[in-house]
Amino acid sequence: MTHDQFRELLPLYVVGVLDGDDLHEFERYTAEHSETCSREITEFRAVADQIALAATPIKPSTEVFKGVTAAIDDHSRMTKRLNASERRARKEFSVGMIVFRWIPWAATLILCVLVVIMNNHLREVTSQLALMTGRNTALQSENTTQQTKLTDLTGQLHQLNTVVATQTKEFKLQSDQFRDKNEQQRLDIEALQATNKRLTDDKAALTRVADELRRELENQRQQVASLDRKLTAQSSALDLMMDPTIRVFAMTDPSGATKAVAKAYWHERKKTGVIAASNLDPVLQGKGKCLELWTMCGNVPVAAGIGWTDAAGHAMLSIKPDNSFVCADKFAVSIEPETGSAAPSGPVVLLGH
Amino acid sequence: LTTRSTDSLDDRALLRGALKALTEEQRSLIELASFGGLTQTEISQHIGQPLGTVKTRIRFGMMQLREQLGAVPREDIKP
Repeated sequence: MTHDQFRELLPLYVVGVLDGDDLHEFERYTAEHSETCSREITEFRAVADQIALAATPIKPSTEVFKGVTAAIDDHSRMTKRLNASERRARKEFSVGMIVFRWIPWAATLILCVLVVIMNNHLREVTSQLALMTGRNTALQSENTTQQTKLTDLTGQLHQLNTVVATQTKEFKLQSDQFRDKNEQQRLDIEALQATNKRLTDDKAALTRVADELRRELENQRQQVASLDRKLTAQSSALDLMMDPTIRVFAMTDPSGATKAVAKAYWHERKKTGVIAASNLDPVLQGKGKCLELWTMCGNVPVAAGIGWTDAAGHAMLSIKPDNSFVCADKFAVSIEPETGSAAPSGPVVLLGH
Repeated sequence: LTTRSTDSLDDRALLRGALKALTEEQRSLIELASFGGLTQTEISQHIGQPLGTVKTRIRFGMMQLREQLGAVPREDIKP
């Protein structure tokens, strides 16, 4: 403790409220520094002593007043019996008593005040104690109830812990089984995925082969159809040429620029015929041009069909004039646009009569 | 106790004036301490205030009383 701390506790000490560690420390410090502290304690205690005298005096009861007065009278009578020398001394003492006669009154007053304050305080403490006792009883009762509940809950908790432990063990076992099964399924899925990929690749390869075969088959079908048509046309042409009533016209290039030659076979009664040509400049189908046949009765050309050569410049052209055909004494072949013309517009490459 | 005659009317009036100059809290705590015979801890529990508050109020109140009452002459103080 420092001296400043001593001075802080000093006002509390002189009114007598210090307790516990504060009081212990204070007394230890004052014992160690009695010379320094005693004067300050004495000085401050004088202030505390004066406070007691500030209380309002209370008029004592008649009995107390008479008792005190009688005591004073007795004291006076005793004083008269003293000898002169003692009387003088007693007289001086009596003067002192007169001067300090307030002391019994003040003491009585302080005692009364203390009794009243202590009584009130005791009453408050008693009521608080009763209140706290009641609360304590209620708390003890509640505590007992809570202890019972706690015991029950502890038992339930123990049971739950047992159940949880069992379920945890089962769950772990099932979890391990699921994990193994899952791993096996994962491996199976990977194997299936690999197989599926191989099958997909095989399917794609087979699809490509099938498409190729389908295209080849289509080409062959078209070739067969073309050959069929060609065979039919040639059969018809052959039948026509074998007919004894057929008329034959030799045809050549009228300009003499090429060696193109042809023969036109015409059946007068059936009004149909065929032209077999060779050495023509190739006029292939799908190239924007065609060979158009014309029959002429006099100098009037009548369109009698279109056709094309093969790559070698050979052609077998059917003569199919329309109903406006009257007679045929000339045949001509000219090069026309792909779909033919109503009248010759291109070069005549064969002419015969 | 000092030898000053505190039973005179003037001194008593001075003492009461000094007590009135204190705050209500300081005065009531000092009276409780002087006449109630309670310790600082008991006062704190009794009035429901923190112990530090009780100590501070009593200390400042006592120091103010000392100033109001004036310095007591050293020679008048009995050891």
